[in-house]
Amino acid sequence: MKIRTRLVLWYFFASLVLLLIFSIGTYLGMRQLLLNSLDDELNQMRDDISSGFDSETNSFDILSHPFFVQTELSNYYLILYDNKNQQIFESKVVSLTDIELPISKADTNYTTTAKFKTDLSSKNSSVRYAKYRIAGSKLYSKGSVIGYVVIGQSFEKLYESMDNLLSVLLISIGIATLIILILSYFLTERSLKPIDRLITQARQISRDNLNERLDVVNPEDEIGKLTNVLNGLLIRLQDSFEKEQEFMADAAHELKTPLTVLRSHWEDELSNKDLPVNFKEKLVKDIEIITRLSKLINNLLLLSNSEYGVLKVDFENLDLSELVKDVVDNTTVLAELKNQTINLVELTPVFVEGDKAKLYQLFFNLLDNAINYTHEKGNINISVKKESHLALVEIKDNGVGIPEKDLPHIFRRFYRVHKDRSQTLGGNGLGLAIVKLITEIHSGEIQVESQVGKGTSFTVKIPVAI
Amino acid sequence: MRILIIEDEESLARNISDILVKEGYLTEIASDGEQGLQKGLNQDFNLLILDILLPKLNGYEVLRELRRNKIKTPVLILTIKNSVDDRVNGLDSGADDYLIKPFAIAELLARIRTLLRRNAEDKSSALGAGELVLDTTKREAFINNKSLNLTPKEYSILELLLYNKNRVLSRLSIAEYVWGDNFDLFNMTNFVDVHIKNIRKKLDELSDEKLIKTVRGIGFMIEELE
Repeated sequence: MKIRTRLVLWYFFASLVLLLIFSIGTYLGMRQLLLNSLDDELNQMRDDISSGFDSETNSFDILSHPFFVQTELSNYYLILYDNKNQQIFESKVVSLTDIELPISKADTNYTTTAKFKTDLSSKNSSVRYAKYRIAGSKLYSKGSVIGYVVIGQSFEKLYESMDNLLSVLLISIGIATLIILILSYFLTERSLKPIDRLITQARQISRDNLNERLDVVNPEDEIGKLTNVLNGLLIRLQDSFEKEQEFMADAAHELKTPLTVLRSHWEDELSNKDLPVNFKEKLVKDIEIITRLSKLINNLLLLSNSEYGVLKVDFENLDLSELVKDVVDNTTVLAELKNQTINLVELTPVFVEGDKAKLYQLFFNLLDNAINYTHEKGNINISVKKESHLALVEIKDNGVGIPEKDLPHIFRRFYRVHKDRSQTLGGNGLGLAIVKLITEIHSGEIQVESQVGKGTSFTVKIPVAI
Repeated sequence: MRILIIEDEESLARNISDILVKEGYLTEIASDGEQGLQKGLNQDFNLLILDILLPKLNGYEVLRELRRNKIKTPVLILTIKNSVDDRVNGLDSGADDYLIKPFAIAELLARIRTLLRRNAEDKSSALGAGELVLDTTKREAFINNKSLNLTPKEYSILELLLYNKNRVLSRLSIAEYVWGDNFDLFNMTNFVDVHIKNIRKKLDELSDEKLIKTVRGIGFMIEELE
């Protein structure tokens, strides 16, 4: 599960639990409050009744008071006794219910369930039950008992209020839940935003721009600390890349210096008249090997520099057809040695952003390859085309071809298709690897099609300059 | 002609020195940047051969210091690296030419002679052998004031051979000089023969001298007996 989803759910459930505890508390508290106010009301009525006692007539004036005959009074359960325990009043409800006054509970408030014999308002005779709150109390006046009262009221109103409260609470919970869900989503989005930014930034850092660092917004917060840790990691990575690259440069230097010494020695000896010719012939071969080695070192350095993203390129706007023509002009001599024909089939001027020297090497390597792997009197067709936004250079020969199983590997370093022949042809197994590298430097791609015995066709595609 | 060689690889410095002495130059060797700078400042030289990676002071620093002190001696830089940056850096510091290690001796001598010829004192000594005369500014060859109508590549080959008189040049060295190191030189060596054949044909039309000698199994040379 994503952290985003998890956080939303955590926020949501935590808030929901709090909301429920609050609601239950409110409900129970409200219930107690209403019950208390019900008792207060009953006590108040009882006090009203006792204050209406007239000691001279020894009767309750209040009975004649409109209050007692009002319809709402009929909802009250009320029995009034005089001091001789004679019942002097009972409300309508009394006759309909079976509430009994336990004498032991005089002067207390208690809850009882009353059974109605018939419905109060209708003629329906079905039995129904209702909870009543009853307050029983002795009535005093000037220190002596003047009577006894039982007064009660149905819980109906209280229940109604509680029901209202419940529905209000439930609706509130519903709305609050929705709000919490939305809020927690935005809150999570907000708190995860710096992480998203970090991810986007970190993703853009590759070996080509290892010197870049992630932005630290607030170095004190957790994201800031994480960013600092990542930046530290980048510094170490860059450091080790640079060391590696430095090592390669040093290695190349250390290898080339002795080669330089050797070569200058051998070449000088070529003019030494005291040395036999067959010995000098060997020296010539050695010089060739030395040159081969130093070229190999150059190519390895080129490939390793590209690996570490420190390859220096010198882009300019140039006409690819001019460049290819130049390569062909300089290479025709090689083809002539094998009586091969190089045909410039199509030469459409097309401009690209390119490193002249590297592109030269690219097409030279391809053409050189074509010449080497094509028989005497073979044909090599070259075309430079423009297809929408791409410059296409095709070099097609009718030479020996490349077996299908080798095709996926030919751009690998030191991979040799013709393992027996390559050495005599002077290749070092890096030519096509470099071709691919240079194509990639120019955001291009290279395709190869080949059939054994029929020939090979390389197509280089490079985006045209805008 | 005095040449100062500033190179820390002793055997290479010795070797270059030996070759130059054989060619008739006087040489001096400095084995680190500081020593090289001192010698360059205090003595008169016609040319400086300067390595880049040197102990104490590197080649660029030596060069800059020399130029700052108004020493205008031509400088040929020897460098291992061959990135564009290094070349630009070298030429910006005031170098006159650069050569990438490992280099061919023939090319080293050709470059040295080109640089020396640029100096006024050396202009009198025309490049040529026997009846053959080369006009290095127009890049043309003449016999008895008649042009040989050489192609640019043929001219380059002839020039290299003349700069290295009495020295056998391998096909590889010639190919390197003519086509640069961007090429698969091992293929080019065959083509050197084709070019030499063409040059000889053009020479034969105007002169009976057999200037270019083939040294079997090794290469070619122009011999001039003193």
